[in-house]
Amino acid sequence: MIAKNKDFLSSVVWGAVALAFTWGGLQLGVGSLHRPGPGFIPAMIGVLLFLLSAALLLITLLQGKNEQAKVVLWKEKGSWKKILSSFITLLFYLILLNPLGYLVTTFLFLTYLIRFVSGKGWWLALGIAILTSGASYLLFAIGLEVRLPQGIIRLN
Amino acid sequence: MESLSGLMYGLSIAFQPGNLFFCFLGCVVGTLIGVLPGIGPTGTLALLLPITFHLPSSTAIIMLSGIYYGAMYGGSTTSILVNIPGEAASLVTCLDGYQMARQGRGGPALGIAAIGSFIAGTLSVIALMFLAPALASFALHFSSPEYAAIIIFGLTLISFLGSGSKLKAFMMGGVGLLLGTIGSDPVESVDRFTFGSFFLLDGVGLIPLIMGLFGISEIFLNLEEEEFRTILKEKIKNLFPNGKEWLESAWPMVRGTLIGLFMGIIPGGNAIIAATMSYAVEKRVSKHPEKFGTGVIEGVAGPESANNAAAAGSFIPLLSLGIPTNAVMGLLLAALMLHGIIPGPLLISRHPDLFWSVIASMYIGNVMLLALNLPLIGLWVQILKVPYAYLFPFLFLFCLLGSFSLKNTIFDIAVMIFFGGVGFLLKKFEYEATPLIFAFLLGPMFEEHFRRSLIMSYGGFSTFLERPIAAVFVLATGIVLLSPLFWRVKHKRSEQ
Repeated sequence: MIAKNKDFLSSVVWGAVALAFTWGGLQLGVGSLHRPGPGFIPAMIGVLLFLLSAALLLITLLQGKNEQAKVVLWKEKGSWKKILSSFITLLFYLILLNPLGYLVTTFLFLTYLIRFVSGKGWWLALGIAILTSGASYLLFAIGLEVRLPQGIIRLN
Repeated sequence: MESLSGLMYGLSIAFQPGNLFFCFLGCVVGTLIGVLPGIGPTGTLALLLPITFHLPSSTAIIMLSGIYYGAMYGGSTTSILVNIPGEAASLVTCLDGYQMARQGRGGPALGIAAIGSFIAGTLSVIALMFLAPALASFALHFSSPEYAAIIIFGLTLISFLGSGSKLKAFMMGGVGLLLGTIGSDPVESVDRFTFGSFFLLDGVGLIPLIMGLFGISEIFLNLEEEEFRTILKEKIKNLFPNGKEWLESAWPMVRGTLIGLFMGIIPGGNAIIAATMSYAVEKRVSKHPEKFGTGVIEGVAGPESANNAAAAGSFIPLLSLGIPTNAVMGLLLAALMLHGIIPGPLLISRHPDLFWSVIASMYIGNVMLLALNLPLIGLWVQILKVPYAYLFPFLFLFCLLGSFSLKNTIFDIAVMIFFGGVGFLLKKFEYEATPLIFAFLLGPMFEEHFRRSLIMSYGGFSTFLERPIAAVFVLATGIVLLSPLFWRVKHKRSEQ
């Protein structure tokens, strides 16, 4: 089915992005040739990108069925688990960093990754997590004087 | 002579203990990531860039540069010993280097790679020393139309020289340009596409964007791979090539250096293309081309010289014109801006301490790297054995810390994660991220110059063709864009 084709999907997505920026550019005001406005470049490039996306779409449709271009997001069966859990872990880091603070969040983050994504044992995971959180805090917060969120452990 | 006195000045700064230390650190880190497959100079620079914010500007650039050309040295080690390129520019070195190793000549292969890298690196720094100031003073005659034309030429060439579909590369350029419009309009200071967000007023952060597209997505992609590494068991004897091998390598090193220098200077050219071209050239001019791929030393000497020359050469347009010609230079541009240094033809005259100390430290760095890469090869081989499963959590942490520490806001982390996902999808859907980054970096510059040109000429597009320098670049752009048609016609004729 054509909708599963990589280039079909991506050309539609980029075409939509292009339209969005073109519309936005027109709203901002394109100005005139001797006084181009803020919307000039967004609209112009938006149109260009739209045309390029349309070209890609056209080429894809003309090529017809192409098994090789099917969307294959994962190289092997099951590798998506590692990637997805890493991604979600990153999101959790983002959410928990300010409320829980750098030390706790980093500790939880590393423990989870080493234990559940890398598949190593609990002792190893906890050990590496504690050492790294502590060492990195020393290096960055104290050594390089970067302000890291304190969260629930107040060290100052 | 001005260049020599500048060099003396630079050496006096480069030899300060702090700068020596960070130069060494950069070289060590560079060699390390060059040796380790899966992490390259682009990703590493993206990771370490925010940290260098806390260092003085010259020191920061010295260290970051050391990482870049250091990686060109380290990459050959894994290529020769394990048949896996440590980083992309060393891919061609696998072809003959690994074969040489299998024949017990791994030592000379490594030796020639290191020596070729040293010679090429040093010669290119000499070229940099003389060419950059000359180019900068020439560029002082440039005004907005010239800059607009050069940038368009550069962007076109970058999209063209990519390895995948050119149409898709241009699309990525378009996306990058559009992303660059988010934030404040460079000419009239109007907010664009910010949706009232305070964080988007400055636009999408360059560092989080790069760290996401090149750092985080790279880690995701590596998580998929199963690593099968069989490191050659043969002991590495004698690192020095014998007399015959020296003779055979001499001209390839010279040719490699020239090719690399040229590819480093032109936009879109980079160490990978330089190395590949050098291999192709050596095969062409060789008296025994059929032997390539079986373990000929020319196949190592040429490409390894070329990639180092390209690395040094790419500094020329960055330091003299303020125009980055590949992704790593783009990151250095970001680093300069982070330190409040405005790149452009005036950089050398306004910040001679920066320019000359970076040049001086490149000489020093090349010597350090020769010392690091010859005797310490055994050490690097040991490091190859660290499994990625242990490495990647640290890489993630680096990225998170790095992007947060810039402005102390989790918004930057969010941007980074978002573009990490985007970068991953781009790879899967067969798009290249490089044109996007370039267009994003150069877009605001381009827009400013383009709109100014039109304002100055009262809307006349002819200004781009009337001014000679600008016209040259516009024509060059046209030639590049039309070249596929030319090849198609030629192909049809030869078929008849």
